Amino acid sequence: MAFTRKQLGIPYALFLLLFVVLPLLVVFYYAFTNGSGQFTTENFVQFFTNQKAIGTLVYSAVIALITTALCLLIAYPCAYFLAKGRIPHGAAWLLILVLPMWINFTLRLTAMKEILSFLEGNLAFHPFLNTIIGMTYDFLPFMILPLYNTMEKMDHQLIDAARDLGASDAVVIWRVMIPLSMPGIVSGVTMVFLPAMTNYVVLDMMYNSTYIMGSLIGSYFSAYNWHDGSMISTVLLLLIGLMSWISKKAGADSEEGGAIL
Amino acid sequence: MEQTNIIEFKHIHKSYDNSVFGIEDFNLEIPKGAFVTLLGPSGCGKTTLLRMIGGFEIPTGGEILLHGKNIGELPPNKRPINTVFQKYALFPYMNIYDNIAFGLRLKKLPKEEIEAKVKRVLKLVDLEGFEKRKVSTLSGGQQQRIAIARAIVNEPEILLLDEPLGALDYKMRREMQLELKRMHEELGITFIYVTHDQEEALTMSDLIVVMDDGLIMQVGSPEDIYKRPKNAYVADFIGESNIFTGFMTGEHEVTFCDTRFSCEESLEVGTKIDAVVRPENVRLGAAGTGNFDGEILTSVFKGTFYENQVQYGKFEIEARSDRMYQSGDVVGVTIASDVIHLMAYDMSKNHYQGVMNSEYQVVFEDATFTPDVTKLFPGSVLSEGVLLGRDKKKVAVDGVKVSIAFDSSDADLSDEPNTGIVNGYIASIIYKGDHYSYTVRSENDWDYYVNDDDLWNVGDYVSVIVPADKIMYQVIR
Repeated sequence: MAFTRKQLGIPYALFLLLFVVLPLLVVFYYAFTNGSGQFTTENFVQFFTNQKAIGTLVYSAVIALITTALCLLIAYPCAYFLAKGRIPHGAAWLLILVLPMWINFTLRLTAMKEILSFLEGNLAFHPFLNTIIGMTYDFLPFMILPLYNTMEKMDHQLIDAARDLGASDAVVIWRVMIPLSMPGIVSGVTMVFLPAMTNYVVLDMMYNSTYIMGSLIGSYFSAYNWHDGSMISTVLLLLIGLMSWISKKAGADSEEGGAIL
Repeated sequence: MEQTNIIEFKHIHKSYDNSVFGIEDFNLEIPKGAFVTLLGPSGCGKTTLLRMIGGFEIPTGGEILLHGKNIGELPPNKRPINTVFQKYALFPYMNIYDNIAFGLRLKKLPKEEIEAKVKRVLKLVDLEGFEKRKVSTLSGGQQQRIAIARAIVNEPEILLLDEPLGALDYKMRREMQLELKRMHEELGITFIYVTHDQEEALTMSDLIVVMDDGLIMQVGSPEDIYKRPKNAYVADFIGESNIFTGFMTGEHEVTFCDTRFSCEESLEVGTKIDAVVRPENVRLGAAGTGNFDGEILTSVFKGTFYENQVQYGKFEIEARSDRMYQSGDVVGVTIASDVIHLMAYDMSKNHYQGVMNSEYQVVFEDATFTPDVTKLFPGSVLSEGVLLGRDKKKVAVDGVKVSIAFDSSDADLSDEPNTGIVNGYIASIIYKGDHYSYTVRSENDWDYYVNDDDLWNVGDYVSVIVPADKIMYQVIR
């Protein structure tokens, strides 16, 4: 039998089938069935009529939104100065900022906890604030990297051109730099916002007992309620799909530059 | 009519922390309404100058005067100057209309006025109806026109162009050159153009500024620069040229290539000169009819003419002809009196300054020299290794400044490092008929000028050999 290049793809196809497609199908199956295995949309209706579930969704979205905004605010200037080589030893600084990604995040959070308890006296006083700090700290590298990548490729002549045409610094940032770095912003936001909605480990570690989407799913599964847990996962999946679609639309307008994702 | 200057450079200095390139004491006046070209090889400082006019770089010293007012530190958005960038720099996420209207919108002009202006300028660059097009759907030439339109729509007093045609193919470039010249005449504003392409500079400019290493080599009209180059560098950089080293042997009489020529220009009798003769001005004819007979080495068809290399003794002459010659043909070479341009031979080039130490050595950044100190200090004698003056007292030499000089024809090159006074890379070559004139650049960025018969390549690592007795020293007081 002749060996073709197509055969190299078989392991990957198998992997996809076994670990991505099948589990998804299982999730969908549970999401749309009840305890006796019959098709139902009851789980779906129940999620959107359950005030607690909706509350959790809103709470998660708020946490994710604030985290994403903070990450963007911190990462954008960071990435700009690193990419444009304005600071000596830029590569080393980038490494320092990204290096935490190499360390297990629970370990990092434990360190952060120590610092916060020293500053605040008791972590339990500010659970929401601490959650935000922990999340921002955790996800910052995921925002810096894609931004750095687009900004490194950014044509500095365009900034010169804008200034030449009479743009002040504020106009340059708003009308040139942000549109040019849009692909990086989009992939950074996707890489921070969605994980931030579900990462309940941070809340656990920061003694924040409020549920977010991740904790909700976890609680259903640990109570052997596969159906409701799967339905929430499906809803989240749809949200992710919707967001990626929107960001792809937004990214299509700015052709130049590229980013991870 | 009185000519007024729109831009004046006064003692401009620009240096960078981590680079040897820089500009020192640059002075230039640019007349209003002119098409001025800054011409030179890459790294000569022409783009830096342009960026200083645009406001993207701030001079480390000196003044840039616009209508007599210093604008050296004004940011780009506060200057009545617009730039056409090398790679167009159009905003890729905006359509053509938004690109052109960018500057006008910032000025908060009414919508109708912006529309009218954009339309007019699109007509000027011959791209009517392109308003809604995306930048990426345009060809390089079209993008360049849009870049020009975006700059001139703001009605600047000066338009800066930074090698705007560099990315276009040859035919498109020729077309755009004429187009730019037409626009310059139509708009009546000052154009300052940067290029390394001498043909482009000759075609378009009213005034050419030839630059090298941050220095002005010559300022003049295209005709001036082509016909009357000031030095061998300009002659070699602009067009093809034969450069011969010779002497004035009489009033309106010059000798080079072992032959006497009469010439219209004249310099003081006895001075060493460089004579420039353009290849198209060297006439070839039947043997015996010219100033001397030479032998054809090669003859190459170039479209409208043949390019011939003619050998005469140890000299090589480049000449153009209408007919083909065979190599080995003997031809008469004629150089008429009105096509010889004379330049004073520059002997002052190899001039350096060192400081004497207590061991009677002259220390210079690149090398250490050991001159005969008794000649440096007249009347002094060396006694047991100590220099004594006329009064028999020890002469204090530590820290005395000494100038070091040698003639470029006394120096030689060797490919064996450390055999000479200094090592360096060959930075440029100018062929002078029977020898080559080399510029060798050392690690510390000092230039050495050496005449050598052998052919080396730019970039070769060589050692500059100067016989000890040919180095002249002088105490600077």
